[in-house]
Amino acid sequence: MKHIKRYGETALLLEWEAEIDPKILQNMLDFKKILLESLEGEFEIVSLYWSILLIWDKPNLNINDLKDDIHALYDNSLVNKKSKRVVTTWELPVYYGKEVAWDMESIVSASGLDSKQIIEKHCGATYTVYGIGFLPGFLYLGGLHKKIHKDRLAMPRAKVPKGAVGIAGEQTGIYPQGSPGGWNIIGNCPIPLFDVNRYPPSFVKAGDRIYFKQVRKETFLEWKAMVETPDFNPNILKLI
Amino acid sequence: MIEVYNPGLFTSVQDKGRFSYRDFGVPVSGVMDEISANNANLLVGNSSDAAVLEITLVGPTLKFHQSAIIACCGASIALYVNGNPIKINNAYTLRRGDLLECKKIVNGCRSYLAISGGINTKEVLGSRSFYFPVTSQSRLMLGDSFSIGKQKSSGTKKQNTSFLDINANVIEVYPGPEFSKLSFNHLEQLFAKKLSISAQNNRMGYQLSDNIGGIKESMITAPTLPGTIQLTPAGKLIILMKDAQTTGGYPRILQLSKSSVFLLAQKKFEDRIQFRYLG
Repeated sequence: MKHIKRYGETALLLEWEAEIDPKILQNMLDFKKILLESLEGEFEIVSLYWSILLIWDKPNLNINDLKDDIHALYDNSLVNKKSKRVVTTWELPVYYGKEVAWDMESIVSASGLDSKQIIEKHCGATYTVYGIGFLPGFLYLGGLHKKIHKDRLAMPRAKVPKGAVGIAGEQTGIYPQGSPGGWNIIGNCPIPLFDVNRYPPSFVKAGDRIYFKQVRKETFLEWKAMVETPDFNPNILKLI
Repeated sequence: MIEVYNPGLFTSVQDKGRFSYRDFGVPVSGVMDEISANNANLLVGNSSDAAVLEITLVGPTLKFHQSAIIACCGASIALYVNGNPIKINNAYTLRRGDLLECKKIVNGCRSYLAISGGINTKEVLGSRSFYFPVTSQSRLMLGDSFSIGKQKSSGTKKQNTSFLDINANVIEVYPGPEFSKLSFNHLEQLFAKKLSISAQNNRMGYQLSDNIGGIKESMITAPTLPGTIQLTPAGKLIILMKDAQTTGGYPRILQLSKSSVFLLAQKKFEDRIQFRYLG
């Protein structure tokens, strides 16, 4: 942890080294777990890339005392280096067919690869989840192959469908709901990433790893039907 | 049961907000002007947790199919029960069959209608605050109906102790995480004169009309809060509010005090505000 910044009246921002690095993420998420377990009272924590945002509601909390407590907790945690955090690896099916891969052609043009190679590179990577935000259940994934980076569309589309798999710059991700969007769409994932009827509503958490697996249209449709049934349990997508 | 005869411009059920899910990307939502919402709840004998209707600019018409105590606080709004005018900041007992018309807001932007027992719509992720698609709708629609919770047996209605001064225009700010990226020129433009609310304002955020010049370096997406002021590369200012996305990629230059978020919720297009730096 590099430093703690004040962020308004009832929040503190804890920042790590500004780099997209799984090791830094690991250190940060290990401390996030310690904070959640150690801090007394009602705190909310949001984490993304190298930031932890600590939020509370009580107006009379002594912020300087809290900062000191956090520093002490962190220094203490470095001594006990073994991570007790559970990291899950998920394999998510993606259908890359023409009818859903709206921007595949522009990535073909930009990269000089054909669509088969682009799909191979998209599926060939291990992605790390650096946080959740933008939309409920939207995963910030790191690890996209350099050759298939592509800037966002100059003008966003009014509507991108739920499950759309896209690329924007060095990021790739899945739209958990229909939304306006400026990402380059290359496929669709049938798995619901956010469900208010489940706890937690997102089965993937920061620090987890994701693989994409290319599936045929028939398999994609089977998944779509299966996720609607009450029996569907995301745990069947766990790899490790 | 209460029936919506006319939903008004943008009326939604809001309570204190949806906590513990921001880490999943779910905005906190909840009432924007907490002081006025709380005053309305106090007047009808509700706890401050009770869900209320947040009314924006033009209010709803509601048919009461049961008796209830109501109160409306916040912006000045024209109110009528069965055609007879009633006042804001007062509690009234409505009887079964009564029609409540909340018409135009004349000064300010948002009013809060509290009903005894609280609005009893479905709790999703621990809150009744409307936020689509976490809840099935973002606002009240024509023909909707909802129930209210059981009335509190004590029946004592407390007096309001503090009101929001809707005509105030000083917005207090602390430095945001990227405050140090601002130049002297930026600071001068932010604090030396009043700035204007643009037509782009809603529960997600308030954009200001003024252009103060952008910051060159880009930033990775980071967690944000309601009350965070972002500076876009184009030089525009966006003040995030209760339904704002939980993360953002624009520099977070300033952060509003909590009470200034309540006050900003009463501002509308062409209103002018003055930032005051709290350091």
